Amino acid sequence: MMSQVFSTFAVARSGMGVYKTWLDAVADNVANIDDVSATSGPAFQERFVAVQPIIDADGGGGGAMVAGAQFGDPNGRVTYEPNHPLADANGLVRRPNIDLGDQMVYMQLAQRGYQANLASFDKAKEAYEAAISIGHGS
Amino acid sequence: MSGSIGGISDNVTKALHMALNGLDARQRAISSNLANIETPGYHAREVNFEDSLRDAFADGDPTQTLTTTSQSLAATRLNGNNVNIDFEVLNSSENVLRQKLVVQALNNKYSLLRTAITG
Repeated sequence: MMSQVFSTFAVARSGMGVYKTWLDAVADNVANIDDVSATSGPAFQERFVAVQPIIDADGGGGGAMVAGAQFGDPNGRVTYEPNHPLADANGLVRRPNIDLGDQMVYMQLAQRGYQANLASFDKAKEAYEAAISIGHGS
Repeated sequence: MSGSIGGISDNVTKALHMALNGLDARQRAISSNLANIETPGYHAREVNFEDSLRDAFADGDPTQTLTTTSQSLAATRLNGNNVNIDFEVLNSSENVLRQKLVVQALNNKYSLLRTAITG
């Protein structure tokens, strides 16, 4: 067990950080969902957030952390748009292979996860406030 | 420890102190479980100190209480995670109330002391 003062705050904060990063990734994916690129280069790749738990020395949980980013298919969807300025000789361009429905679901998950961690922060604060009051009783 | 100045820190006060330590570790475990609701392969952590505290108290030295952390054996979801969000949120609320209860008991002990000192 970590004996640092108010260490539960750090745990809740780590969770909020993870879900905020996930929300950022979803926002990035949605913002770029209609990007068009030439077939000579990659399409915009969907951003995935890799998360891993922080394990304390005693095997207990110490929160979560972002382990890195992972990227979707660089080939994307090749579509026929001969009038597009980026179209190749065959009239083809690349668009990212991102499903808006998936992104909406991820956004809900990330938002709820963030809220759960915020609630956990509030609960920890309540408990610490009680602890601080030790000795102040009438 | 057991033979220390009787009035100020008796076994009940020590037991309350150990209970507060255990409850704090549990609060941290719950927070960690909530931080990892979607982490693939994460198993929920559970903290137990009550059994050890009961034994230590019966043996006359509550400071021997051990707080242990174990991993939940509940069935996992497809991503290998078994954190149950409603369970954790309810547990979090209950745990805070338990901490307040212990704090109140400590305050009552100290209030008795204060009365004895100031008259």
